[in-house]
Amino acid sequence: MIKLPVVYRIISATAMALLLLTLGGCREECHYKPRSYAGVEFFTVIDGAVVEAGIDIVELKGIGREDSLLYSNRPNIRSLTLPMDGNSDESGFIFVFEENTDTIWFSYEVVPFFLSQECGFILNFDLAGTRYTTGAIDSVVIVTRKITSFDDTNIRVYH
Amino acid sequence: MTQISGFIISLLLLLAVPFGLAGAPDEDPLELPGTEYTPGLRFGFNVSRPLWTFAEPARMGFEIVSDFSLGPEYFGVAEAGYSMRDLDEPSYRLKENGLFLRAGGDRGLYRHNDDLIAVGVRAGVALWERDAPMIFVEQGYWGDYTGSVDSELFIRQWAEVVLALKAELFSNVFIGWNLRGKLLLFDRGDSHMNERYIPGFGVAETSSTLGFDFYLYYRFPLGN
Repeated sequence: MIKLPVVYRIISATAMALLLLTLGGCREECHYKPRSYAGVEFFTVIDGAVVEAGIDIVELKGIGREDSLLYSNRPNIRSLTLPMDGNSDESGFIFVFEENTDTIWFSYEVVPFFLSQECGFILNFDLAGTRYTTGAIDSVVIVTRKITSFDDTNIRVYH
Repeated sequence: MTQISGFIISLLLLLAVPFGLAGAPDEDPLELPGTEYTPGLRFGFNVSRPLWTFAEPARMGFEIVSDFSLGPEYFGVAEAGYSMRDLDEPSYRLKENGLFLRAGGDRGLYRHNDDLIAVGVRAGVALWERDAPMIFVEQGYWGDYTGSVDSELFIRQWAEVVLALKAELFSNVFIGWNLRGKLLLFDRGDSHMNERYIPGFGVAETSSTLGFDFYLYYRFPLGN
């Protein structure tokens, strides 16, 4: 009953299946596992116009991690990134400027995000709100609520 | 990934040509009717799924398929199965399992007796549960994170175009494969997943993907 063409078909189909199984079996390594930081940019208002304006930061540290500085002695900084704490629903940061010190708190929902089988999960955040003091800072505005690894600007700080 | 997909498509097309010509060396390869044809109800199972499990134990499942001849070149098709992925890694545990159902039809492009190359369409739906009982992430500045995501039910629909081949191996016993192009419908993305696993659809980072399955069938003849 089996004819040569059918045998050929079996061989061809089996070869294709084996090929695909081989491809599927090649597990890759996690070459890069990104982290999701909140992007912060600094602005000021001059004659009614909003302009990007750098600020001198002497120290920047997280509340609860005062022993570890995120930034130090950064003059005229226009943008920076802040790591949110996945073990809490709020993170606070102390900004030490030349003449003032301000604190900004961010409240959020932690969103574990599955990147791939090789890399596993990273943590994203959905910003819910901010609280802040007003020494050098005038106001803080959320422009993008989702903090992901895509380097978006999430926060505008007006000073 | 694109290069691999292109390579696979090229290979399948290359191999599909002798598939079609080999069974009918003296006939017009474009001829559709005029050869022996046995109507029937055909049942089959997906051979590639247990083979996948052998290659990748974290994934397992089964699929049964059936088609019913509506004429020499037309077939109604129904496919159903169960699929699960259980990833137990040092930094996370992710469990997903659920059911899927596809329905549609095939139209023959080339037929020689009961051997067939066909194209078809399918509508698919999957209902599955996802659970991440352990997640560990190194955060750097704030120290390590340990958490979990509660179990949740999901449902998704998709459409497929299918290139199918079935060849009679013995009397009423067939082998065959399907190459499927799949597109999620009403896709809202997933705030928790970049690489999504959807039973019957597969693993995908976007709303479309390719699939390939290898089948064995038995046909119950229903007369001529």
